[in-house]
Amino acid sequence: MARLLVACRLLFAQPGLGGRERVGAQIAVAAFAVLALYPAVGSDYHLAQLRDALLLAIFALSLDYLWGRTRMLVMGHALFFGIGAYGMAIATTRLGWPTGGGLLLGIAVAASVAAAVGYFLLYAGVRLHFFAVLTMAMSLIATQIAASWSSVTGGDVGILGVPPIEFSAFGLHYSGGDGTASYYGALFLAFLTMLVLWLACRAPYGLILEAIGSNENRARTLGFNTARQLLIAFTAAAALAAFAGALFATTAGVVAPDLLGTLLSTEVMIWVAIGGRGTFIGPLLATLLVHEASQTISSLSTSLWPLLLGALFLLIVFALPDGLVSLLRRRKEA
Amino acid sequence: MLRIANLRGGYGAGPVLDGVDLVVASGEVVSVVGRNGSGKSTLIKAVMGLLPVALGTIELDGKALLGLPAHQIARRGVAYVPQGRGIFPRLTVRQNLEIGARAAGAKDGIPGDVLELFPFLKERFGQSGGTMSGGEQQMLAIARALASHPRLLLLDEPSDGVQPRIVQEIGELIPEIARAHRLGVILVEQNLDLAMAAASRIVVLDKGMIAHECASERFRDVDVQTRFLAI
Repeated sequence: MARLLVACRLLFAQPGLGGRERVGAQIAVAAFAVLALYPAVGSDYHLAQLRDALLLAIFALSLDYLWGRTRMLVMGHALFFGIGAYGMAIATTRLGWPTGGGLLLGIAVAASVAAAVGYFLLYAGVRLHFFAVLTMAMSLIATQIAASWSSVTGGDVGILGVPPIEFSAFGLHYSGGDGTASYYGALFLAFLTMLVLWLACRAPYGLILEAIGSNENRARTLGFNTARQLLIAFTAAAALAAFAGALFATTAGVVAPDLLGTLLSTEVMIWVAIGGRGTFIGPLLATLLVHEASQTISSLSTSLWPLLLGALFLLIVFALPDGLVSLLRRRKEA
Repeated sequence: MLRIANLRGGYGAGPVLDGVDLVVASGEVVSVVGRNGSGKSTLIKAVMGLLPVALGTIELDGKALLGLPAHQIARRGVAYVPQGRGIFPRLTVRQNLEIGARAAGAKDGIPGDVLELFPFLKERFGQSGGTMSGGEQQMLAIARALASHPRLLLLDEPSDGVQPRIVQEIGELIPEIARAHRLGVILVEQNLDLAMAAASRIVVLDKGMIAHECASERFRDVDVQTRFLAI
C-alpha cells in the first residue's frame, strides 16, 4: 500500500503551471473544443479520416513519450503499432475472441517483444543510433514474417473483416461501427492519452526521464538504475503503440504488412518532429494536419506525397528543430 | 571509512591505475594531484563504478564497492561531481536539487541544510541550470551531490572553468562540509592552491601509482612540488 502511494506520488505529484506549459495547455483546450465541434460541420468521409488520424496521434504520442523525454529514438516504432493491429485482427477473426481480448493480446505481445528485446539491448548498453537501427531491423523482420506467414497473417493481402468495438456500460451502448460515436471515442482516447502522459512527465517521474535523456551517466551516478528506467519506458511506449494499432485495426477493418513497416515508422517520427519533440500536444496536432495533407495530396498524385513529406521534414529539421509548437510559444513570448 | 587497496584498472587497453592504496577517514579531505594522464580522474571513476576494468579492493565502511554498478554505489552513499559540472542544464535549480535528493531515495524533497550552505541557490530556484555561470553551476553540482546525504564525496576538478574568487570559496567550503557532515572527500585537482587549501592530506599520483603522500602544509614546500610534479 505504502509502495503504491509512493508510486502515485512519483507519477502524479504536480508542480505549478509554468508559462510555457500554459501556452501548451491553451492550445490543447482550443484544439479539443474545435475537434469536439467538428462532427457538426464535417462530412462522414472527413470524420472517418480524422478519426483514423486521432488514433495515429496516440501512436505518435507513444513515440514522443520515449523520444521526446528519454531522447531514445526508435526507428521501427511501427513494429509495435502493427503487432497491436495484427493481435486484434488475429484474435477476432481467427480465434473468435471479442475485441477486448484482441486489444489485450496485441498489447501483451507488443509489450513482451519490447521487454525481451529491450532487456538484452538496454542492459548491454546499446544506445542511440545503434538502438534505433536495431529497432528498424526488427520492424523489417516483422514485415517479412507478416507477408510470408499466410496461414496466420493473411500474407501480403493481410486480414479483412476485423469487427468494430461494441460494448455497453452504465446503460449506454457504444458501437464503433457508428461514424460519430467512433470519432468521439478516438477523440476522447487521444486527449486522455496526452493528458496522462503530460501529467506523468511533469511529475517527479518526468524529471528522472529528463535526467536520463540529458546525460545518462550523470543520472546513473546519482543512483538511478537507468537501464531499468529506459526498459520500462520502452515497454510502456510499445504497449501504447500497440493499443493505438489495435484500435486502428477495428476502425479500418483490415490489417496489412505495411502497418509494421518502414514508411509508417518514418511517418511517425516526422509527425513527432514536426509537432515538437516532448511537447505531446505538438505531435498530436501535427499528426492530424500531416495525415489530412497526405490524404489530400495523395488523391492528386500518389508519388508526390513522399517527396513533399521528405522536403517538409528537412525544412523542419533546419528551420524549426523544436517543431511547430515552438513557433507558437516564441510568438507568445515575443 | 573508504579503503582502496592494490587497485588496478583502466579502460581496456593497458592499465591506467597500477596498484593504488588509499584510505580516507570520515571528515577527512584528501586531494589527489598529479600530471595529466597520471590517473587522477580514473581513480575516482573506479570508486564510482564507472571504469570498465578494475581489480583490487574498494570498500566503504567494510563493504565492498568494487563490482557493483554505479547506481548501487551511489545508493550506498557515494556522490560524484564529474569534471565540467554534473548538472542537468535543462532542469531548473530546484529540479536539479530535487532529483539529487530523490535519487538517494529521499521522499521529502531538498534537505534544508544543503540550502543553508548555498543560500544563493534558493533565490535561483526557477532558473534553468544551464543559464548559470560556471562557478554557480559548480556550486549547484556540489549542492546536488550533498542533497543525497552521501558518506563519501568525489570531486573531479571543481576549479575547472571557474573564476578565482569562487575557487577560493569552494576551497573554504569543502573542509567545512566534510567536518559538519562527517563526510570523506576525495578531491582531484590540478589547481594546487585549491588542493592544498581544501585538504589536510595530499596524494601525488604518477603513472597510476602513488608517488608521494604528505600533509598539505608540507606540500607547500616548492622543492617537494618540483620533485613530484616537475613544475
